[in-house]
Amino acid sequence: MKSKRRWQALCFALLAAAPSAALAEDGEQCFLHRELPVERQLRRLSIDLRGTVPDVAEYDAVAGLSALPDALLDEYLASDAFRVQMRRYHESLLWTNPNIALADVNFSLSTVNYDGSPVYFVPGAGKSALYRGGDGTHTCQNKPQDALGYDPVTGFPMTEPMGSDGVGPWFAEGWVEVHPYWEADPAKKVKVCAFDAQATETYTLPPGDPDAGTHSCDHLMATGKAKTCGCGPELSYCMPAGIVQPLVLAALREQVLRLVDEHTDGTQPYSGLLTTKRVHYNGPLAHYFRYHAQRQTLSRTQNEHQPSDGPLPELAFTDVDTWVGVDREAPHAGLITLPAFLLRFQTNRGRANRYRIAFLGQYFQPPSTKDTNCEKEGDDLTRRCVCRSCHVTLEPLAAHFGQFTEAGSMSLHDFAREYPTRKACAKGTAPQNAGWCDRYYVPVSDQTDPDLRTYRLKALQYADDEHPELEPNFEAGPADLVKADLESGRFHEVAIEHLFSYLMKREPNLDPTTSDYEGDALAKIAANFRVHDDIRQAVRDLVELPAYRRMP
Amino acid sequence: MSASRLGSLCALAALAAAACTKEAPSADPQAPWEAPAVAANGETENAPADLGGGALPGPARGVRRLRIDTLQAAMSKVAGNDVYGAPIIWRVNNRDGFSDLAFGKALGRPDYQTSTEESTVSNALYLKFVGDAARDICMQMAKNDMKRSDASRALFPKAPVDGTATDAQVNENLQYLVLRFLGLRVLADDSMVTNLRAVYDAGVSSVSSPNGGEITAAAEGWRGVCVTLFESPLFHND
Repeated sequence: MKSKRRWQALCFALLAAAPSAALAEDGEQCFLHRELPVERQLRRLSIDLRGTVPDVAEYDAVAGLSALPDALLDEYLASDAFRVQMRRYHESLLWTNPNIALADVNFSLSTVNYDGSPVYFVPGAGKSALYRGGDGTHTCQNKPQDALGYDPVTGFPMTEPMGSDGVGPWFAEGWVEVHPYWEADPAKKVKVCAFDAQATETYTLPPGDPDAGTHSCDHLMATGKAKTCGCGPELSYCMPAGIVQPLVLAALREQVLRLVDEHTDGTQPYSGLLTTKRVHYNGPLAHYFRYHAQRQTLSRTQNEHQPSDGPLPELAFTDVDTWVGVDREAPHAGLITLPAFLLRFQTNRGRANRYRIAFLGQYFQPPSTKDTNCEKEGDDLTRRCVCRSCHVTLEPLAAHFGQFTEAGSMSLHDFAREYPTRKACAKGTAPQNAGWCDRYYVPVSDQTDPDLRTYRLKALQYADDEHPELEPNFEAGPADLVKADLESGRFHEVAIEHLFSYLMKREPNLDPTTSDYEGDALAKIAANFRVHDDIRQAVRDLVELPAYRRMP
Repeated sequence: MSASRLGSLCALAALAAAACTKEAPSADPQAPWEAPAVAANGETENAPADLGGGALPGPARGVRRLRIDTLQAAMSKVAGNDVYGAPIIWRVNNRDGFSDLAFGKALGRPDYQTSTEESTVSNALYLKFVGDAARDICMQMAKNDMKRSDASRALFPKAPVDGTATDAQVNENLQYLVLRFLGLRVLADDSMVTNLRAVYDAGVSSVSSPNGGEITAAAEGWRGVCVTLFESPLFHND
């Protein structure tokens, strides 16, 4: 009973206390538009700019003041807590937290448990069958490879016959101990099946083979033909997904946030977020792009590092907290060509749409009226009924992202724009691969001779006389898209509108026919923002608006 | 009705009560509102031209509840550190209750994968977890304060908890807590202080003194005040 009575008292007090504060200083009248007490102004500012409340000493420091001092605002805007708030603000705009599979069976490392200790192996059936015969489901045996030895001619690990499965006889090698790249302690080693532990870096196909020549072991195309290829030195080519993937994904997210830091702390112009060629790598990212990205099967995301992505810094995988900045080249443009953005929005249309929402404040909506004089069927969405109302605008925007692969972050800048035949297309990579061609290219019939089908990059499928804007936009890349919006001032106007909503907890009133129209005030702040290009000053201008200090 | 359910209902009702009930008059310049010339009692009277109101300011900033990140930081900051110097946090199975490994995602913190937007309105789930967090943190604050001397205490620095506190000391501590938790500087005779005094008294009377427990009856009273302030809409509104 006592407990219940106590709760009833609590309830009474809570109900009574809450309105009493809101009604203070005005009899018992709850009224609007009252200016906040300076302590509540401080609390509001602290929450918005620092993400937490002030302490009692900070409240005492403003006691008796009629307004918050400028120096306090300066202190908040210069604080590390404001940097963190800007990170959250931009993440809420861009949603850049990719969650994708970075490994597949052909280079991920699984374990088999022998005598209580794990032995690593690559589970890909094709490679396993190449190593051990049978149906490709077998691993090594629980025996050190030293006990079996190596073939003096080929250098392959010696094997022992283990029996037959449904496909045929299979054999098994032993295991070896290797220091893996993901362990910082050089003395620490793990057991790995001897075939998978091979450290060879290249393999050579003999004359007469369609792909005769020397190729890298560290590539997707090395899977089916190269028995001499394993996981490379220190297992660098392979990935224990549970260990490596979370670190790489976290680093991809951090890569965006580091760019946000640079352009919101006042050291770099804010608009540089969309124009800078700068990018930051840490150990896991450098290792992933150096060794793993090019190994991903074509049906998954393609993130192979390209020359235009800039030089990868020499960092060990274990350099998780060491970040090095490098410069990229065209077609890169700020954070909208970082892997986290490209992998979060995996189609060019999705990328253009998010860009339009985040930086132009525009949303696509289907038409509310019936669409007439249009095509009811067909693949061209700029002509199809209903679809065209958005796609006429969207397709030219999406073309700006065409130099990046869809379902991946790889730049296609250095790829041939087209091949005359499918066979020539398949030879675009080595060893030749028709699947590679189908991944990036699409057959396009010649406009004068339908029997001629060239293979063109997918983003250029509709780049023809009827869609003249697509190819120029493709070649110009995202940088030109950004340039136009910076020059028009729209980028800074929309940034101010977003910041207003973030700080004021409501949309601005941009209806000029109403008495509460706020467009003029925002336009003035946006015009200044365009000149100083410093988001901290823009935030200062917004929180100094009278509306920010008032009760609703 | 259990205490927790009653608490949740009570907090829900309090949030609703916090919303001001009087709406701003329309400011449409095209159709100015005309005061009726006949009063409710049927007598004719002349109303002042502007009803004494003057010009209406433009719309103010909106009010939303704290985001989960901010709530997590704010509760911990208000709670201060324990006697070992570690921040006091809401502990759930040895984890921070607001973390994504506990209830962070359930409370709506977006991960930009499965959720991309954080709703900044209160709902029953939010109130329930806030109540849980408040009770846990306030108990930690009270227990840690019992091991500290007066001035270094977070929850009752202005009033002793050995049963000797005067009314003035209790009221001074209540004023201190209202400032610490809500950022409001109120007078000792403010209705907020008098109402919280009732909470304090209810807490004190709910346990016997001495009770042999870790906290005294007075500290139990302050724990109740602490929970009340953490559950106040004024704590959750920015």
